[in-house]
Amino acid sequence: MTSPVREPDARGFFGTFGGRYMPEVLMPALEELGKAFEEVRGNAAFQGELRTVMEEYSGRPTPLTACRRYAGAGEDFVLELKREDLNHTGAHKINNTLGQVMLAVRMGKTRIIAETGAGQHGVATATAAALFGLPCVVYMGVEDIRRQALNVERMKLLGAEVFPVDQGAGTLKDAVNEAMRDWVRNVGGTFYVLGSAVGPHPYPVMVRTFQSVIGIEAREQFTQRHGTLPDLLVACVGGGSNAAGLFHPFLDTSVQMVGIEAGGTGDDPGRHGSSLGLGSPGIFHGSLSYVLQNDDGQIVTAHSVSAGLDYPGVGPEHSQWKESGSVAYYRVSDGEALEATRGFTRDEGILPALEAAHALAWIFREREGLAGKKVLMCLSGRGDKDMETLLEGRV
Amino acid sequence: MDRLDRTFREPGKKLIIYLTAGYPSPGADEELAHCAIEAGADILELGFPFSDPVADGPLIQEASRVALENGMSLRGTLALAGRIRKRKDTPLILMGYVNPVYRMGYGTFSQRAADEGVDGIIVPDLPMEESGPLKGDLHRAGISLIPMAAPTTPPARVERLLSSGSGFLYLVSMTGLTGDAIASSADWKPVAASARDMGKLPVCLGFGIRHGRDAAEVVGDVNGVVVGSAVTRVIMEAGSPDAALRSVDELIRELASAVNSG
Ligand SMILES: Cc1ncc(COP(=O)(O)O)c(C=O)c1O
Repeated sequence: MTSPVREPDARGFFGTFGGRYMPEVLMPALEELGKAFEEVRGNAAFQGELRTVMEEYSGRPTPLTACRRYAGAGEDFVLELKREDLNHTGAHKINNTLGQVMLAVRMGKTRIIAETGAGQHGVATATAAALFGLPCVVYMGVEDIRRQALNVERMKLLGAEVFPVDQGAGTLKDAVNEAMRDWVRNVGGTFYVLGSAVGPHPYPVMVRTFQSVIGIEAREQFTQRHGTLPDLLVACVGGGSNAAGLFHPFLDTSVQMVGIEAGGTGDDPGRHGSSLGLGSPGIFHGSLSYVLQNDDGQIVTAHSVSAGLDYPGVGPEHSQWKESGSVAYYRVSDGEALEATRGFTRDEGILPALEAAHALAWIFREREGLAGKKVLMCLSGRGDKDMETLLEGRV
Repeated sequence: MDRLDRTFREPGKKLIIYLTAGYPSPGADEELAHCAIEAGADILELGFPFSDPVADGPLIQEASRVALENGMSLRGTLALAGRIRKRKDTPLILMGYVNPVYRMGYGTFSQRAADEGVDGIIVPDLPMEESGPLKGDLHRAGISLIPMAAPTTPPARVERLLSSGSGFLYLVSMTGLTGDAIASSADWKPVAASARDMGKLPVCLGFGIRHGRDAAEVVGDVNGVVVGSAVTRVIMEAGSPDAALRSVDELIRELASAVNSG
């Protein structure tokens, strides 16, 4: 295990992963965004304003909840949940969108665009845009529109325009493509709020920084309650933003970290979303990172029962954590995640998002090995949005 | 590379025609390529398809999708270039997204491309900052990495693009996608003018040029024009392979006559 790179270099590389692989049209805009982000990172006024909005609008800090029954937690091992599901709009996504939309306002941008998979990032972006009075367009694949109908209506209520994307499989990757195309066309006044720690530099570091509030708070809350650091961190990994937000503030410790990818319905191409577990390095959506691809370098469609993990790429910082051995990545199947959702909801009285249920399912699978350990998991969102999928019982 | 330089040293404006390899079908693509050259294309640009073409509008997206369905690949595109090269001495450039090239390996790609008689490559998602490793391998193989500029590119960056690139400067006419209509605001003109003043590479304008009239309007300010989506459209709208050949021939003759009188 080599020690992980804590921050990317000036060109956005975490070791060998990252970079800025984008059309020339967008290069000055990415440059401008990188500068603006670096500026607000150390700007006390901006950070203070962001903290106030987080507290007074989104309900931060989110609590830690100790599990009492699930998988033997409470008796055999400690399982603390960082309750990102209790954020305004029901997921960690708003930590990032409030930060980015405030940055957009500061940069004088007048229009917000975003992609969404589960609809959580779309709702969180539409919410932040409503709060700051900016028009918002959200790109969403037609398959995701079908399985996340409630979130589509929420976005519309929030005043956003939801643009259906019917290319490809009509999921998150196609929505990102279309959002990038919009940005190419409207680069002057438009701010692209990217929803995970992926994309060209500075998005991976920017999104992770805005999400680090998860790990910073959780570290303090956990040590206050237990007088010690956790033994193990667990989070689900789609693009990797909630996981990176939890993990990064612990990189200076020896706490073990585990990221859970979508195992879908099997290991064959097209059946899962395990870029780190089953993919290989490639250049996709603006950065060099692990990706699901064939021999010709074509991106392979991902699959997951959870729309938020249904993505064939992953953030470059995770690729570097995989290579350095800082984080171990495993995968959990659709079936395991659905079963964990039902079991956990009954045991703890909390309906988790299907994405987060992947992390819960891994804990269930590993429960014997966890005996005596203290585990801290990011419960990235709530599962109301998944009711239709749960009712369909589709796998 | 020599073929490209030679072409631009010859007097007159140049017409660059883009075709997607594997579209509308393997075999028909090759016939279309020969047809394009015979109708007056000075340089042929062969697109190798990619699953996620973020800089392309609906026409080239659709052509790429069909090409992939037809089994086209980067390897297949290189083989197609080689077959065209056997019969024609026209400069051939490849155009496509970086991942297939990265996946094949920059060194392997460069060697194979040289073996097949390819003269240059355009990679829209490989900006100057990330192009070093590929450029090194291409240079050793004698192939140009053709730089792209846009109306948003500041003059200092245009200068760096010109000094570090080779072949010609591909100037995108607007902040848009392939197939979008060319903007009447002509934001590209100042970039073309400063590139011309710097004088290091010929400048060719692409994106949004649909017919002879468009070409005639812009060609005075540049060394050549690139036409892709308009060609793709006539292929898509043709009812049969023969009709596609006839329409492509007609469109390219119209474009060539506009470019040559420019
Ligand atoms: C609740 C929830 N968790 C996790 C994710 C996955 O994203 P990431 O890996 O960026 O945290 C999503 C994405 O939509 C989500 O909605």
